[in-house]
Amino acid sequence: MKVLSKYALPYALTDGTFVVFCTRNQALVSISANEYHALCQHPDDAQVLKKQISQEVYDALVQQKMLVDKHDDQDYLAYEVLQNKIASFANTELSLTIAPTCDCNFACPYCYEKHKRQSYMSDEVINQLADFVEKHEQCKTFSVTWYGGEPLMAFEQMKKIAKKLSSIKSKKWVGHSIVSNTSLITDEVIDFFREYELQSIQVSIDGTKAHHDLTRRFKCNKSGSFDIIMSNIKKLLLHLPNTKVVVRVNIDKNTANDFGEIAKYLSENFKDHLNNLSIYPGYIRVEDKEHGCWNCNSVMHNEKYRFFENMAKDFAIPVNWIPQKAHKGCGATSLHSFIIGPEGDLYKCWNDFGDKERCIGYIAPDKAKGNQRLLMRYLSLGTGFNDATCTHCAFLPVCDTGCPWERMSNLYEGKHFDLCTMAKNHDILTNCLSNYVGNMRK
Amino acid sequence: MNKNVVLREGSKVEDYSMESLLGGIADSCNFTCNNVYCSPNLCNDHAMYPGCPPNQKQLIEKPSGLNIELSF
Repeated sequence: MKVLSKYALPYALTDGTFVVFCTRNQALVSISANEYHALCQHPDDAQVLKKQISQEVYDALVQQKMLVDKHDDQDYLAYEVLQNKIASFANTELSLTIAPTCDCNFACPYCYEKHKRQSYMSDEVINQLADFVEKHEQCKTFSVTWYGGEPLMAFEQMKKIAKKLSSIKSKKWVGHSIVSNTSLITDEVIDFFREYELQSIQVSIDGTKAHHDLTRRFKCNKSGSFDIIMSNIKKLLLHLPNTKVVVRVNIDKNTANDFGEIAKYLSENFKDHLNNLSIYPGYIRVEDKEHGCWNCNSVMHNEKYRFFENMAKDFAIPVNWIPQKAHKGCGATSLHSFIIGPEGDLYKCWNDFGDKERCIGYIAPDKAKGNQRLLMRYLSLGTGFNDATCTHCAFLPVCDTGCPWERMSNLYEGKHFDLCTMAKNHDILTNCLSNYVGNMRK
Repeated sequence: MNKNVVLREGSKVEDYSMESLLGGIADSCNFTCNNVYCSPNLCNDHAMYPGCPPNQKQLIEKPSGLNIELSF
C-alpha cells in the first residue's frame, strides 16, 4: 500500500487543471480535481488514496515515484546524502582557480576586489604551484580556471604557469578556462590559447552599450569597453573554433530587459558562430550590511520569475519552467578545489579571495598557517545536509541548499540570507508549472 | 504510458548514479558536457554528474542559434 511521497506535490494550475510535480525526478502527472483533494487531504492514508484515485492515474503515480512505500523517502534522502559526500570528497580531479594577479585595467564602481593588492605571481610561487599540484597524489587529473583581477594583465605569468603545469608527468591537465574582460586579447594571446587549447572564456557585460559603458570603464581614461569587448568576442570566435565564449549579462531590477536586447544583438552580429556562443543572466545582489541580507534593489525570486516571463513573452527566449535537479555544493565544499592567489594564498570561495582572514593556507609548505577553521566549516557545514530545514524539505532535490558563503555568513555572522530555491515559493512554482503545461498544450 | 496522464516522465538519473557505484556505467560522458542543452531536464535521461546514462543516443540535438536558456 502506497502513500504520497513528501517529494510529490499536488498543484492547482492557473487554467483550472491539477497536477502532481515530483521534485525527486521532476516528473509531472495530470490528475482530476477529486484526486487533487484526496492527495491534499489524505496524503498518508493508503486506503483512501487507493479508493479515490483512478487505476490509470494510480499506476502512473507509482511509476513516477509519487506514491511510494513507507521507507522510500528516507532511502531517497540517504541517496542524496551519499551523492553529496561523493561529490564533496571525490579525489579524482584537482580543481584549481589561479589568479596570477589581482590587478585589473577596468575601474568598475561596484568592484569588490578594489581594495586588493595589485601583486603579480612571482617565479618562486609558480614553482611552488607546480609542487602543490604534484603533492595531491591521489588526483589523477587537474583543471585550471584563470581568474583575477584581470588575469590577462599577468599574461607573462600565465605563460610560465602553463609551461610549468604542462611539464607535470604524474597527472593529466584536462583543460583550462578563463574569466576575463577580454579587453587584452591580442594575436599573441590567441596563439597561446591555440597552443594550450582553451575550453571556454567567460566575459561579463553590464547590459546594452548605453548601460555597460556607464560602469565597465577602463581605468586609464574612463572610456567605456562595450565596443572593444564585442570586437574581441568576434576575434575569439573567428580564431578559436574549439573555445566556447560565454557571455554573462549582469542585470538588476532596472536593466532586466537588457538581457533580451543583448541576446538579440549577439544573434544578429555573430550569426556564423552561434554554436560557440552562450549567454546567461548574472543576477545582481547587493548586501544590506545593516540587516545582513540582500537589499531591496537585488534581483530575488519574484523579480527573477518576472524576468523569465518577460523574456519568454517579449523576446521569445526559451525558459525551462521545470525546476532542475540541483547539484549540491561548489568549490567551497569540495575537498580538492582551491583558489590560488598571486602570493600562493589559498581560498575556498571566490568571495573570500584576497581577504587574508579568510585565507585557508598557502601553497608553500613553510608559510604561515591559514584559517583552517574556515576550511573545516566549509567542508563539513557548507551544504544543507547538516541542516534539518534542508533535509526535511520537499524541495531538497531541486535546491542546491544555497550558497555555502551565505550559509557560513548566516551561521557565524548572524546574517539572514535566503538559502532556498525559488521553486519553494508556491505561487511562483504554480505559475511555472502552468506555463509548462500551457506550452505543451499549444 | 498515457501522455495525457504523464505530462513529463521522471528522470532516471537517480537509477543511473546508483548503478554507476557498482562500476556498470562510464564515470563520465564527454559527449556534449558543458553544453547548456545537455541537462537532466531537457534531456530527461542525462546528467553530467554523477553517472551518465549508458546510451548517449538519448541526448537531444542542440537547437540551432544562440545557446540560451533560462532556468531555475
